[in-house]
Amino acid sequence: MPVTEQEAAARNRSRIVTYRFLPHTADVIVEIEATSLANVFREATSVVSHLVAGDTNVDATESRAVSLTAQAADELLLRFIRELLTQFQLETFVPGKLEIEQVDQMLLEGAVLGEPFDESKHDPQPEVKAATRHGLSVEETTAGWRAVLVLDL
Amino acid sequence: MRPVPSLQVKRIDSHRWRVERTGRMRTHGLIFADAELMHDLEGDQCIQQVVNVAHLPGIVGPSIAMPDIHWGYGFPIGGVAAFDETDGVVSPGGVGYDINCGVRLLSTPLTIGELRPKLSLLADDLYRNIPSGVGSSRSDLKLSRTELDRVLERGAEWAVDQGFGTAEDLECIEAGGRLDSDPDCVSNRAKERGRNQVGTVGSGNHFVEVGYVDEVYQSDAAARLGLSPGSVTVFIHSGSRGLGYQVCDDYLDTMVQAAAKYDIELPDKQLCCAPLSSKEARMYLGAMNAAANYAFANRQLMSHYARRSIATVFSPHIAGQTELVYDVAHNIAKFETHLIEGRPRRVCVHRKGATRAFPPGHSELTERYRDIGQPVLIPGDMGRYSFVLTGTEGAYSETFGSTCHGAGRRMSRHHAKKVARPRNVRKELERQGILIRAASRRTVDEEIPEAYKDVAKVVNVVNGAGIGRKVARLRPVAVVKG
Repeated sequence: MPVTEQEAAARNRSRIVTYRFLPHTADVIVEIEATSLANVFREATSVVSHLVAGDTNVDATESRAVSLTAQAADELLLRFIRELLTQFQLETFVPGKLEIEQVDQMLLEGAVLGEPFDESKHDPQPEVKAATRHGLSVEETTAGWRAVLVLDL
Repeated sequence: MRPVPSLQVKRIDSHRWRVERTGRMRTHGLIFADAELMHDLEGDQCIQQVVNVAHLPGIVGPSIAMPDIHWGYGFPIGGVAAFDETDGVVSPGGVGYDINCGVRLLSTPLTIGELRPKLSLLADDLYRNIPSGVGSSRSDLKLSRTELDRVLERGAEWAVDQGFGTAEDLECIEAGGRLDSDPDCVSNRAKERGRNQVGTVGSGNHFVEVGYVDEVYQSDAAARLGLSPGSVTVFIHSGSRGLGYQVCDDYLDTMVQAAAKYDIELPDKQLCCAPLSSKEARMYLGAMNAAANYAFANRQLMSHYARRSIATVFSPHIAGQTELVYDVAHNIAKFETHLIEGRPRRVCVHRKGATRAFPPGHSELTERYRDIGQPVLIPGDMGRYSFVLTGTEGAYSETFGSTCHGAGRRMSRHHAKKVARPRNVRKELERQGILIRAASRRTVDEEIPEAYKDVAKVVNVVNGAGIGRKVARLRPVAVVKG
C-alpha cells in the first residue's frame, strides 16, 4: 500500500526526525535533521528505502546485521548508506527499519529489517550509483544533529 | 556545501570564458560556452568545481569545462584535466562512479520509411532483449569468476571471441575496446556486483535508442560513417554498471588515505587522489581499466542483442549489415601524449563527462577513419536529437583532444518530476512519433526533454570553437530506458 504524504509526515513527526531532498542539477542532496545521532542513522534508512522503493510500506520479513566502524561520524554515515545500497543491488533487499544495539561517532552495530523488492507493492526508482563525499557532513547542532550528503544518480 | 566565493570569470570570445587563477589555484579555468549556456550555470556550484580541480598537484594546462558542464561531485560533469606523468595525480572523482560510461552508434541499411511499419515490434523486442532498470541483470549470462576476470582483462575482445560481434567491431571502439588492466586490483564485492549485469542498460540517463539521420552537415564524412540521410541508427548509452560503481567507491577510500599520506591539500574531499607514481595510483588505474573493459564488453553485448532484435523483426541479412560506427568512453582517465608548449609530453587526461576527439591523422585512430578524424557521438535528450561529430586539430591543441559528451542537465530531477507529474510524457512523445519503453514512469518523468539543455546549442559551441566538427544530426523514434 502506498503511504500518503500526510502519513509520511505523521510518521516523521512521531520519530521527531526529518529528512528532505535539496535541489541539485544532476544528483540528489539529502539533508537529515534528527534529535540524536541514532536517529540520523534511522532516518538514513528511510532515505534509502525511499530512493530504492518509493513511498511504499516495507515489511520486516528479513534482517541484515550491521557492524561498521569509521574514523568519524560522516564516514560512518557514508559507509552505512553504501552498505544499504549494495544490499539492494546485490540482493534487492529494501531496508525498512534500523534497530540499533550500539552507536557512537565511530561505531554502528545493529540490524536492518526489511524485505526483498516486490514489484507488486514497491515503486521502482532510478538507480542510485553511490553516496559521495562531496559536501558530506554530520554535525551536532543546538537542536540535535544535522547530516548532509550527495547521492550520485 | 562550501560557500562559493566570488569568482573572477572573464569572457575571452563568443565561445570561451576564463576563470582567473586566485588563491591556491595552480592554473586558470577555461570554460567553453556561449552567453546563454553560461547564464544556465548560475545558481549551482559547477564553476567552483572547475576552480577546485585547478588546485590539484601536477595539473598541466587549464582546468577545462565543456559547454554541457553541470554540477557534479568533485569534478564538474563536463570537466577535462590533464596531469603530468611525473608530478601529477590521478583522482577517481575525476572519472566518476560509472567508469567508462560511454556511447556507441550502429548504422543499419534500413530507411526510416522501411522501419516505421515495424517500429513498435522493434521497440518491444529491444525492451525484451536488453534488460533495463535498477539492478537489471541477465538470467541467460551469469559469469563465473574466471570468465569475469577474462572480461575485465580483455573487454570487447572477450565478447567478440564469445560470438557477440565481429572483429570489424573492435576496430571501431576507442582503444580497440581493451585497456591494459589488472583484474586482481578489483575487489570481490565489485566482481560480485558485476557477475550478471554485463549486457544490461541500467537506469537513469542510460538508453538504447532507435533513430534516423535527418540532417547531414559534412557529406563525405557522413558517407564514410555509413550515415546517409534517412538511414536508421541505433544509439547505445551505458557503462560499467555496479562493478564500476564499486571500484570507484573502493578506491575513493584508498585515495582519502593516500591524499593524507602524500600531504595533498584538497578543496573537496571527493577530489581525493594519489601521485601517479604511487602504488595507490597504479592499483586504481589497473582496476579502473578493468572496469572500463567491462563497460566495453557491456556495450558490445548490447549491440549483439540489438542486432538480434533487428534479425527477428526484419531479417538476419539486415542484422548482418548493421555495422558499428564507433564506441567512445566519456568517463575515463588515460595516459596520452600531447604537445605542450611545443614539446610532446605524457599526461594522464581525466575526462568526466567529456569525449575524446582526436584529429585526422592521429596514430591511435583506426585506419578506416584516420583521414576524417575520430567519430564523436553526442546524445541529446529523448525528444529532440543527437549529433555525430569528428575530432579536430583545435581539440587536440586546446583541450587535450576532448570535446563535450551530451546535452547536460539544466533541471534537477525533483523539478523535472514536478513538471512531468500532471502530464503523460510517454503519450506526448508518442504523438511526436517517438515510442518509449521503460521500466519505470519515474525515469521517464525525470528524463523529460526540457530537463536537458538543447544539445544543438552545446554542439554549436564546440563546432564554433573548433573543438569538434558537426557531421550529422539524428532524430529518435524509439527509446528503451531503465
